[in-house]
Amino acid sequence: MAENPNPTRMELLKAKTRVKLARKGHKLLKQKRDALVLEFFKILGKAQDLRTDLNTRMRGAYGSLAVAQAYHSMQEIESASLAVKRAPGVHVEVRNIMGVKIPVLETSEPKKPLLTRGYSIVGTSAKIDEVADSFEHVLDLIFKLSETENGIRRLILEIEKTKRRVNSLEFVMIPRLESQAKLISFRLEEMERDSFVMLKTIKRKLEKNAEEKKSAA
Amino acid sequence: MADNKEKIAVIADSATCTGFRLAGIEHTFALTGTEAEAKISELLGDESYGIIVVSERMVEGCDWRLKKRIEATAKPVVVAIPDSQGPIEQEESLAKLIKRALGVDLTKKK
Repeated sequence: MAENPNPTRMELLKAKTRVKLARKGHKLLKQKRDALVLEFFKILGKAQDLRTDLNTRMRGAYGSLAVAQAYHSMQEIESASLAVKRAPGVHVEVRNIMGVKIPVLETSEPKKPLLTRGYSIVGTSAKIDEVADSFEHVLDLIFKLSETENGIRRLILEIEKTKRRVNSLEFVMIPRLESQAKLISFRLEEMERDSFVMLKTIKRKLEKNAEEKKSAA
Repeated sequence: MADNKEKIAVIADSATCTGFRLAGIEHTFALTGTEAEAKISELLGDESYGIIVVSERMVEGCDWRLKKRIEATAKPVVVAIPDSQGPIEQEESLAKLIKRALGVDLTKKK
């Protein structure tokens, strides 16, 4: 894309196709941006306050862990924790929204009734149950959070990028290409007028010459 | 449904690991520093893991290349959680990002 293109018909055609292409790209990117924003608002409703909720829950969980540690020894808690079975399962699927990959989770409930946890309830106290309970709760929140927070972050970055592209096309690229096409067409017209005038002058001169010859003869 | 379940991993300090083990997570790694980084990058490439729970402090201390990889991967998902010392301020909060991208502060309205 030269700043001063040759004023030829070929270049004019090229510039015109470039403008057309840029317009098409602009339209597509605009649609992409709108779709992304739509998706973003869908997720945003779910994501609200999850993070702060997690932070407070986490603090509570650590608190109960500390209490349990005070009642039992760390080893006892460790051994109880090693006995816990049945890991909660997740199924992560990746959804693709306009090139942005967003995780979608399918989870089973992480909460378990007391007796199915795996460690013996005889050897442990309710404090350990509390810890398990609160961490299960935290886990539940983490599932929700992982789906929304990462997705939102990625969506936002993509929205920003797309927006910048749309704007640069709309306000820089397309006007520049258009002015280039205009410049070429002006130059072409100018050249046409030039040659037209030249032809006229030559014709007039030729006629004059012919007349002079006639009158001389 | 039972076959296509992905594993959950926790990489954090030992207290956090114990807590999550009580919640039923088998794959907990009480690591710090470069060992934790190596583990994270190893698990990021493992398709059998669905979620990796990492403590915030660990993510903050990571190499920027690894951080970028964490942000870019959708599966497994990496979730940062506060560790036993409490949450830390995130440098780029979601609200700020939203405001920059859309020009409106959506989180404050509600």
